[in-house]
Amino acid sequence: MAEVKVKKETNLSDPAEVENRIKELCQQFPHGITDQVIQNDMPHLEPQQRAMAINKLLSLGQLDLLRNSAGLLYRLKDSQSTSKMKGSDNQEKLVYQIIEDAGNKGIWSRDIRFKSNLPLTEINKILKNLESKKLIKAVKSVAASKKKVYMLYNLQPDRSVTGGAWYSDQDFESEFVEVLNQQCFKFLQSKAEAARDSKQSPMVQRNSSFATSHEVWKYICELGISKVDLSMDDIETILNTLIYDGKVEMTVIAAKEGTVGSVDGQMKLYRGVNAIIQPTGLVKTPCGLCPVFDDCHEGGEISPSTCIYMSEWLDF
Amino acid sequence: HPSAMAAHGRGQRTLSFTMETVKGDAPPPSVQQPTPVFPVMEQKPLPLTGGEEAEYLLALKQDFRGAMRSLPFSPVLPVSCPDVERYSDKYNRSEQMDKLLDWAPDWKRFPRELRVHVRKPARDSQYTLYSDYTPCNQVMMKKKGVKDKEEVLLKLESLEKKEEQETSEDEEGETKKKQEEEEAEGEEEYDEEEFEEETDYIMSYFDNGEDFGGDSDDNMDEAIY
Amino acid sequence: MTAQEVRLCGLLLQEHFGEVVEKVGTHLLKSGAQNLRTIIHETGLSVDLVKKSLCVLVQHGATTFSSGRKGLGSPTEYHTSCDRILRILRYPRYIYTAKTLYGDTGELIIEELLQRGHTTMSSTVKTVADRLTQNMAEGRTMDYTEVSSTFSKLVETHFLQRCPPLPGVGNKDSSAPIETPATPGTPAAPVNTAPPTPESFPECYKVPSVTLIGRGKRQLASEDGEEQRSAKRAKMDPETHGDEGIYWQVNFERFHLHFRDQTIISAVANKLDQTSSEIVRTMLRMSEVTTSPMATCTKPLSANEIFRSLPPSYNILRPILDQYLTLLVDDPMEFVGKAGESGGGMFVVNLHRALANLARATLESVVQERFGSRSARIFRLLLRKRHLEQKQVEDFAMIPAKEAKDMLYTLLSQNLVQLQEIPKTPDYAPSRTFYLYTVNQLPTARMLLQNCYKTVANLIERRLFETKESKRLLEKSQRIEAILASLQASGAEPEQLTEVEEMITAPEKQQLDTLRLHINKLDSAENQVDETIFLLESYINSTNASS
Repeated sequence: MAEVKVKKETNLSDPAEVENRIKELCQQFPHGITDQVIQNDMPHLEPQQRAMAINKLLSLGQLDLLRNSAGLLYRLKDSQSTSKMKGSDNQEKLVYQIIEDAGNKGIWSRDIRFKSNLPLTEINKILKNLESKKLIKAVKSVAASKKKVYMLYNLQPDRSVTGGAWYSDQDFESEFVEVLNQQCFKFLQSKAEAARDSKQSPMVQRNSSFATSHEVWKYICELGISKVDLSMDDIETILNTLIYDGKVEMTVIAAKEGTVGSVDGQMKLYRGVNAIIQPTGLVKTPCGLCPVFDDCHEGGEISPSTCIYMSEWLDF
Repeated sequence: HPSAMAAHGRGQRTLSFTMETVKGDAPPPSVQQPTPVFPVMEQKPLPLTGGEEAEYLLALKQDFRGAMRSLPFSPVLPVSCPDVERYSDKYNRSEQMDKLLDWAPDWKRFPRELRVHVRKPARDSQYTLYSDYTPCNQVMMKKKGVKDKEEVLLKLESLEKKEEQETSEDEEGETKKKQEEEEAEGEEEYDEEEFEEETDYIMSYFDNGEDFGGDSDDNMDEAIY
Repeated sequence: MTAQEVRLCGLLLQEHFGEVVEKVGTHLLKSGAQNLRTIIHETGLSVDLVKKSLCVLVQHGATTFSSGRKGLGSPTEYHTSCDRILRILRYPRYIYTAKTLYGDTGELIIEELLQRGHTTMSSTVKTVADRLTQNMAEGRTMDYTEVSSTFSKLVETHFLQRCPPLPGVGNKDSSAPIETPATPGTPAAPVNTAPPTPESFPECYKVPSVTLIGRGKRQLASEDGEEQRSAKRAKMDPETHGDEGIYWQVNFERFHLHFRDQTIISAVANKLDQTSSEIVRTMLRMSEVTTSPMATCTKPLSANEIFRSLPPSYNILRPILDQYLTLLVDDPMEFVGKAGESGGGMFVVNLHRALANLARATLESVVQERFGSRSARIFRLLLRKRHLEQKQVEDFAMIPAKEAKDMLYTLLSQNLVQLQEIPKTPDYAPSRTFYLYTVNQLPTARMLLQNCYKTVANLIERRLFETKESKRLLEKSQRIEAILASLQASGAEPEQLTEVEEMITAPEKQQLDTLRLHINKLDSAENQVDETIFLLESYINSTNASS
């Protein structure tokens, strides 16, 4: 992509543009650039934004960080891959470049075609070739099953591609989630029961029925049911499903600085709760659960008199 | 056969638009394939609440239904077509008429126009009986009553036969009664003396009648509790 | 009035008042207010039957009438409403509640009034005393004064009320000019001539002085039906008791407040604990008199007052009460709210909020049982988060995309969940439109209420069908029982009795038993669906009141 670039005003609010501009600068100075070069080029860029952009490029493996007498130097990692790309034709280089640009989020072949303007058959051939050279790899994305994204071989796929703890081989581990859901509930429930049985004052009972997300996290980790490391955020995600199940309530309290499990002076407390009503009368009749309820009319094909659900229920 | 979902009303419009044009995905296969008339019900109804309270509420409900049948609040058609005739009609008709005599509304609480028969000024003008009885009706039923009674006592074994007879007799009676009713339309006064007498007689007839008939629901409920 | 309501009302009328009243009642429900001539014309029934049916409907409070709606001298019009007829479904519960509050006497008083529609105190007392006597040991009888006293208590606690006086009916000619409460100049308004409410009369809850001396009478076994007998005696009774012309009816609204309070109390017991529920019970009892039926919350009560009113048997110390009150206020269900700091803190029971929470739990329960717990998770999620895109639903509920989509689709097709389109561009291009899922609690509650009405109607239809299917057999068994009874009465030989008994074969007997089980199950289910109906109706009514 060493085409002629027309220098234009970089949109500083768009991180992608900032990153691209940095790469352009690196291309202009193949031996590397200092931080000052970037500052001079984009004087209005906040230092924090600059740092973020550079960190991103470093993590994507697009930049190398070198140290010389002048201080830190950023250089495009390109040279290494270019060497690998020896013997490749221009089309192959183009495709590689597109994939490299996509970073660890990867890119679909359809988008490669869109960006490269090459015919799909040609792209597929190139992709196969690059894969066999272990320059790139295909990763199944959780965002859309059956769709593969391509990224450089040595990159760790982004969480948005793998799905994090809840995905194994890009498949959402529904069962794993439900098991954790049940285990978390069991923990909170036994805690609530113990609190009730303690016969302490009502306030003490209520307070001892609470568990912090950290406690739940610890319990789950010690159970050892997870093959992957779960973060406290992961556990809170599970605890939230319990809230939506109507089985758990959450309260946020202020916490002293440094308290285990507190974040920004706040701590989330969870407790198992009972439903306020027994199942309602309607669901004790077949009609309450009937899949053809709206088609049911006396005299029709589906009617109270001819209803097989009703017959089954009456004879049960 | 249209599936349950496709036949659905309001939500469907938005839905089809969304599912087909928006998401670009076909709706779940269940709506495309013809579904059985009674598709498998995935969840089963929860058991009904049992226990003393539920049992008592059940008994109260059935008792109440039964009691309403013996109260004077169910006027009946003087004629019923054979194809819609109900068992209970056949046995309760005359019984019900009797009960209507038993109800003495306080006419101060009803529009005047609802009064059907005005009895001759009697001891208590507030209590005015109303009914569709005519002397002819009563005679007819008196005859029928005697016959019923005899039949039951004498032909214990031939239940089916009796029933057939009664059905035809009923229909006959109905036609006659209808004519009479049409003739008797309007306000008619009748001799109170005779009326009282007839009532007493009819009462005793209905006592029997009730034993043999009664509404099906009603008797069944009583049988339960 | 929806088609489902009319259908259910029709079935209830038919079961309790027969087909003719059903026909007139259903016609009036569908047509709105009509005069006698039109009703006769449009139903095709005889004058006589229409008049009788109207009498029955008026007697039972299902139909009201008014004159002069269309100007002076215009004919009397009859108006029937579903609400009153649907109450028939709840009769067992009213009767049962009276029993739990006022014993067998209370039970029979309410039952008698419900059977008769409206009646006088003296007539009720006598009938009830007779019935109670009937069930007492030989030689014992029930005193009228005892029944009178229970009757008075029911009036004092507003479970019974006087029927409002009806001006301009009875002996006056209905065609004569009659004063109605309708405001002149509003002839277009639908039925604004609705009779005044019972409570708008000062004597609504005033027990008249009744001269009733005597005891219940036991009837001889050979005499005819109990109901008829007592009614007849009441009628033939030449005595006067000083309460002639004063009629009483059951105050359903009062019962409903009681049911509402009981539901809230048991919800608190389920969610928190027994003691908390007793505190709320005490608060509700203290508020019975001071809080209006439609109030969103009870009048504020201080912790001091509550403490003094707690039954001593609860044995709750003052500091412990404060803790309980704090916990009740803290609870996300917000059954109890804090209304101030004086008197050790002022507290209210949030009646309408409680109803809304109970209704929400009811909706959740329906989704849970019908579509499973993960669909219920989505449903609850949408109730809490209001608007979510499909992707957000998947992420929050932790349900894989495909399953979540199917569940949303099913909930959507059943109208339990709605989809909102928020276009980003005016052309409504699907690719530039947000699709947000949402749950609207009130419309969903309304829809489920209609489903409940349909369900009860289905249960009744099935019951009628089951009965019809076994019609022959039922007839046979009833006749045989009748024959047995008459044979026994005439002192027949045991062999003769056995012979008759054996006319029902073993398989027939089994069929009858099965039928009975079926009928019981269907009847019980009707009772239990009415509990759902009650909750949803109360919630919906409360939203009318607060808006």
